[in-house]
Amino acid sequence: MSNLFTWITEKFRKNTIIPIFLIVFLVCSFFIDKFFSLGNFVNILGQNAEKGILAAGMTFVILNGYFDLSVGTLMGLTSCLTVGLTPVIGLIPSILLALCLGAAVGLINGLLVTKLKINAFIVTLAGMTIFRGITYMYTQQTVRGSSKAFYELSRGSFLGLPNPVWICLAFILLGQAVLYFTRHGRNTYAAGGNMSSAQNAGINVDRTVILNFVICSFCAAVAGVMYASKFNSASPTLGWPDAHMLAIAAVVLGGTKLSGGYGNMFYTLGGLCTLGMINNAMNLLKLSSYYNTLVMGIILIIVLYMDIVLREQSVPSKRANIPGAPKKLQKE
Amino acid sequence: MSTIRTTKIRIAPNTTYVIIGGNFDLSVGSILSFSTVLVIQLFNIIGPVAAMLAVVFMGILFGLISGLLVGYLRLNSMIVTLGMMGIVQALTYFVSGGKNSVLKNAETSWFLQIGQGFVGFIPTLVVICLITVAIFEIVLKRTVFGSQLMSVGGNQIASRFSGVNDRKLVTLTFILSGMMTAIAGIMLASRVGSAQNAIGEGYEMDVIAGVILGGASLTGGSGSVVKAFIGILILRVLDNGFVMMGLPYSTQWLANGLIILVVVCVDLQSKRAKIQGKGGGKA
Amino acid sequence: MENEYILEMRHITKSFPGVTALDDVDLKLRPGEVLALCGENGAGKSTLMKVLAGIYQPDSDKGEIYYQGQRRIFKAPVEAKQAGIIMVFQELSLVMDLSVAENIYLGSLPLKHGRIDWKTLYEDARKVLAEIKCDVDPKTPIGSLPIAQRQMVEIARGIALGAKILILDEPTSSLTDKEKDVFFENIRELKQKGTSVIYISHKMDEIMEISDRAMVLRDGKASGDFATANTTIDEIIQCMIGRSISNYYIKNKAQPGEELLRVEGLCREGQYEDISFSVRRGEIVGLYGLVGAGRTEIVESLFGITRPSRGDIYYKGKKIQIRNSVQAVRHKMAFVPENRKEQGLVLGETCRKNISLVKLPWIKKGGFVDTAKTFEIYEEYRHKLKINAASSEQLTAQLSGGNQQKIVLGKWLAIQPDLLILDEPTRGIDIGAKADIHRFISQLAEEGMAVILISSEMPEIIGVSNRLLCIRDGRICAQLSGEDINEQRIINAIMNQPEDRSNPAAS
Repeated sequence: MSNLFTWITEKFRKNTIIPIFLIVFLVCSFFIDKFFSLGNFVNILGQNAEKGILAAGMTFVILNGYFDLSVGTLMGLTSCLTVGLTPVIGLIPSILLALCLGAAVGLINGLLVTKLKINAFIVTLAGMTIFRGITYMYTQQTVRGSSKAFYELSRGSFLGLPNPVWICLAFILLGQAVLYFTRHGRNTYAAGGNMSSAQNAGINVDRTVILNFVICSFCAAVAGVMYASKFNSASPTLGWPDAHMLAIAAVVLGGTKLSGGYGNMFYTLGGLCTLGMINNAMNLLKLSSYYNTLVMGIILIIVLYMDIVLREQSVPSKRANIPGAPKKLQKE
Repeated sequence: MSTIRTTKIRIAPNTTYVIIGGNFDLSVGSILSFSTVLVIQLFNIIGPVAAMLAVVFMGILFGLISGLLVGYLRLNSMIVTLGMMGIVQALTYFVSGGKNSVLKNAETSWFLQIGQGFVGFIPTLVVICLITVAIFEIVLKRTVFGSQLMSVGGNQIASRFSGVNDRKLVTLTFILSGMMTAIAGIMLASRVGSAQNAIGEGYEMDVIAGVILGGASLTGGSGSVVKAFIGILILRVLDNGFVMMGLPYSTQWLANGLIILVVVCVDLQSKRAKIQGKGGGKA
Repeated sequence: MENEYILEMRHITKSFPGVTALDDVDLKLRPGEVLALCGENGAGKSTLMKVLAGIYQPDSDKGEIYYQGQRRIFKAPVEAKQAGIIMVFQELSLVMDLSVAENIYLGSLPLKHGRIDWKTLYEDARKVLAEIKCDVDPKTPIGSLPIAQRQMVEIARGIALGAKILILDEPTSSLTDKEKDVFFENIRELKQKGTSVIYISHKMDEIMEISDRAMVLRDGKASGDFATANTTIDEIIQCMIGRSISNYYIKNKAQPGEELLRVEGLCREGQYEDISFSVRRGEIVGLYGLVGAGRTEIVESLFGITRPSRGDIYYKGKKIQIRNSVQAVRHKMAFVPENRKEQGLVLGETCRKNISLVKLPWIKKGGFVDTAKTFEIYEEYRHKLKINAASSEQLTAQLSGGNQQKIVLGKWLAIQPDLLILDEPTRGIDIGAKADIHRFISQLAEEGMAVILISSEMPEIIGVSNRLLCIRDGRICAQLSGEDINEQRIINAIMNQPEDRSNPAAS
């Protein structure tokens, strides 16, 4: 029995998102009525499907040791383009165009970061303002959608869960498969963990980074398209001001290290669901949506703190111990 | 002249310090919003002096929290201030009750003199601004504090080993940042007389852009307040130019983004050339 | 054509802007041979190896590399690696969060049906680790292993990649003596299998022990080629620096004065326990121990970087508490840390700014920094320590290791400390600069400074210390002085072996 206990504690220690998720879940379930119901859970998932795809893409970039601040406004741009161009060139071509745009943006981001060696913060920060500019140049107000079929797509459901949720899950599982089973995935971990080692080992780090940025921006584009479908309209304010913050928070809360090299998709899923639960709880408590940012802010800081405290306990310090030294002088 | 009255310039010196120290303060925008809103709200209740003191106190408090988290707990400054930004933003809505804030019965108050008065021909705000920039630059380049800050940004650990209280310095940069931003909020309130809740939204990015434009290194360890001042000035002039040409706000954003990219690119190339030139690779 | 050499490098020249790193260098290597590459820092050893490993390309068409009888050009590390030339770097090139197996096969993970074949990966890793007698579970993340085992994994990687030529750059700098023996065993086994090893090292005794031949570079030129069995350390050193080092270590002749520092019962959870000793003016107290014994932890507590959980520190007779380096500096203590690049210097800053960093609070003129004084400080110590830099405004990042260390030393001497703590001050530094630093330390002691010296090199610590503390597993296992400072006593203390009373002064 104590073995089971130790096993659980170890798992909790290594995968911090599990206890976090459980605590939030239990607290919400006990203190808020209407929280613990199937309908509400489905609701939470449905609300966060698009954000989940955003976070999934962001996971790749963060694992690689970078981050992408432009995903929010890119999402807004692709959303507006999808809806706005449908009457002009048709639904499918619009969607394809948006997706291609996403991939292209990722390519540019990746090239700027790897070949020109510009700091990712600056590149994606610039990208964020540039896309916002382009979006507003395209339209100053909400664009109304014109395709009923498109709208139905996100309304439909399968086995009780809305379609977008399935799409999100698909992305998460696919993403995890890539991370675990493909060379690119392992290269991402290597490059994020120690870029020069990866380089010296013959890994094409530049190509890895670029591909991850492409994935991230592509996911942002997908999220934009999905929002367009969900609302059957697109507002230029979509994704502003803090969609990127939410995505990064989900990834970091889940346990993926901001410095890269450690983490996975399931962590992100956990982080996403936890943030979703908190958001939902605040809605149920009829707290103003302004407090959203308050909570997210506090969470970010707490997560960061826990990351430092818990992480340092499980990986010993730089100074190695001599094997066989008396027990009490060894670090746990 | 009106360009120099921009609030972003007033946030530049403290942001420069934070960046030189190797960190980022993404919460300045929301602290600005909060300060502007709070000073107006309090002015209507307890008068100018008390309002100003309270607001500056809050600014220092926010800076202290961020500073302790980054300086002593060594948390990532981007994420911490991202978090603070959310918290302070929420507090702003709380204080204002969700509505715009407007100064009441202020016509006869000296408070408006700060933002709308003149020293001779020059607006008071401009004078304050230039003096602030000068003081911050001199402190940076010529005092022990400034030199130590530069070395902390260059290598925090080595500085800690070299008799420099790196943690205190980093915390100080954040406290200064909060305080100066609060003061900037007061000045903004004095100039305009009213404030929307999101008035400072996006400011942090623009100020950082200007500081980088002015040559500060993103990883810390080098920079100049005067050059940051010029950097932001340039960006503002460009923005104004767009407005005067009748172009919409969106063009500003687009142009700002592109400019940042180009400038950083050019700056990096020249830095790389400098390192190559001096003494090549060591075996 | 059967060639007795697996590798021939001819007329290799390599320049960088402003400096010629290699000048017409030839190198020959036989299969199964261990070739030591010696030379002062900056002599070109690393550059030559990087050319071989494909990281650099030799200038123009003058240089040629013949590998296995064929002319080869390695345009990238990948090409050299595929040919079997593997370089194991001084800074370990491992990814901490990944498992041992992934690190061994970094960049070349096995695939099955297009997916990563984890089962084969772990099996292959187990096999390779068994070959070098390293019993580590291939699934463990590397970050949780001690440094010595990480080094083994690096070697395992070389073997796994089928290295025909293994280039090792200072591989034993973090190994204990026992680990070093195991390591050399592995090298001998590799030799048996026909793998050649190029071994870059400053440690003469190791070179004599393990290598078949020793090649010397001086100022980018080939300066000597010896069969190890037929030569002496002194001969090799002469070839390296063009002069003989006699009186290699100069012990200071100072008379120890009053007690400056006394430590009683210092403890820190998990790092050291029951540490009590004292240091007098004019005295050099050595701290010897294996890597990881806790010496650095002790002095870091003295200096205020960390805080002891128990114990008292008496300085100049008074009990004091030091909470950070600022307070330590105020007490006129100085600390030259182990890692000069990460802990000792702000690499992106100029020599002048680095060297005046600690003194800064004291060189004020009317509230502002007295810039003229900073130039003076630089000049003073440039002269005293013979620092070789282009100018006071040169970035410390561009200096050689020895000169960098001198800047760190100068920085501390500028405050005229009473107590100077040095942590492995001559690690990775060439012989010439080493001797300079030793001489200087002795001089300082003679002038009345109290010195604590941490070193893992026995000859150094024996040669320089007046008194010696042996540290094992965080405890002082012996305090030696005078005649007792010799190899035998030290080894006995560290290995906890019973003393051989019948032969007390054996060395």
